[in-house]
Amino acid sequence: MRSALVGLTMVAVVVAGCSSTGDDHGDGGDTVSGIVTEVTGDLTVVESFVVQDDRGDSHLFRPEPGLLFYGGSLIHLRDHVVTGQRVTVHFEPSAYGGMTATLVEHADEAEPHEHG
Amino acid sequence: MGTGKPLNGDVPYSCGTPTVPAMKRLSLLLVATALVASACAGNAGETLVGIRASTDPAVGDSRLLFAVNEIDGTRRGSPEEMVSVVASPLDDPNRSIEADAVFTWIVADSVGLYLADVPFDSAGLWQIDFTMSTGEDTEPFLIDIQAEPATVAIGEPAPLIATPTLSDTALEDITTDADPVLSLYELSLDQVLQNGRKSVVLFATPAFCTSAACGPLLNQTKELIDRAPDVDFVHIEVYEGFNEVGFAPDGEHLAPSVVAFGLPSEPWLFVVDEQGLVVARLEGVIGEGELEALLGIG
Repeated sequence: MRSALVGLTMVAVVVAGCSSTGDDHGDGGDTVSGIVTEVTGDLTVVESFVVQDDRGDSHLFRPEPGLLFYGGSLIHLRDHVVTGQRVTVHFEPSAYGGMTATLVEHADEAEPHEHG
Repeated sequence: MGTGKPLNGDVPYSCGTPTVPAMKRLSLLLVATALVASACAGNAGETLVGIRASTDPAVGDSRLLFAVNEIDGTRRGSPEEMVSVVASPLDDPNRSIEADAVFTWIVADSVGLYLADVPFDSAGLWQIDFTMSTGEDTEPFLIDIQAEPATVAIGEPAPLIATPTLSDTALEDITTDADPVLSLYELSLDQVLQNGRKSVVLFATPAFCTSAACGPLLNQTKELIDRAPDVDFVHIEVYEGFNEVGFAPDGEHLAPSVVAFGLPSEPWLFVVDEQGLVVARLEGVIGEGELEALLGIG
């Protein structure tokens, strides 16, 4: 069972990396905009997160160490899972074959954004 | 009904090799597998997608929280848009559980989630197909049911942890609630759990919430205090030291009780019986009448 899980996870990471290669989504450069559909980690650390773009493609990211969200914790991404507010992720390929998020910002700065 | 296609079908991969994370991380990433795999297979432009909001589902749970979105990010859902779900374990797809989901607003007329009563009875990946009353196409999603939850499980004793009270701490250092109810902070958690009364233990941090649900759940809970005089209510902030210079909502500032309860997210509400055993664990939102039923009030 464990090996199967490992394999499937590898598929997830690798396919996510493959799907984004050379894909600028009209944003110019290595960025993806969309809704946050998964945030893995705990109350204090985001290990990875998934953004689904407007075409329905999903992109798995690992944040670079210390990555913040507007100066605050990246955990705030969980808020976006609930609210559906879109984000834009700037990323670069990483050594493991996936994508490393280097900047996360609201896709539409005009959208209201409040804590719960 | 959703498309019904498997979400973890054969997907070739040929890029690099990722590091192997811990087991828990693996299980969470599997949900991402589903999304990625389905995305690579191609999506219909008008398909609605379900987004799992439950962060710690486990065997014995029956609360499935999810959101519904259009592909372009438009959040869907309202009490008028009825949703039914069919949950099936991937390793036994012929077995299924059907349930109607109830939409619950988190912020009135703005943000909400669907809540379905699905008694998950086996660990592993479950596929959730859902049907909208609008008849639109839907994309199933996966949820990984843990054998044991990260949080204190139903039937387990609630951890006896001392928490700050008004007798030893200033109110503004106990809660970030802008409109606090003092009775929530008169007794320490360990006192509440040992006094032979039923209790409601709410972990929420309105000022630092990452789920948008803390304030609303706290407000819902406060409204029930006067209706349940035989129940002790206590509100516990997720972080401590939040008024200190240089505070950050990080691991160093997690409240000891939050760690003891094993919370992976917030807010969480636990109902504890007279013997100090957890009888209900509710994440994020509570449905209409849900907590009242657990407390035996009309």
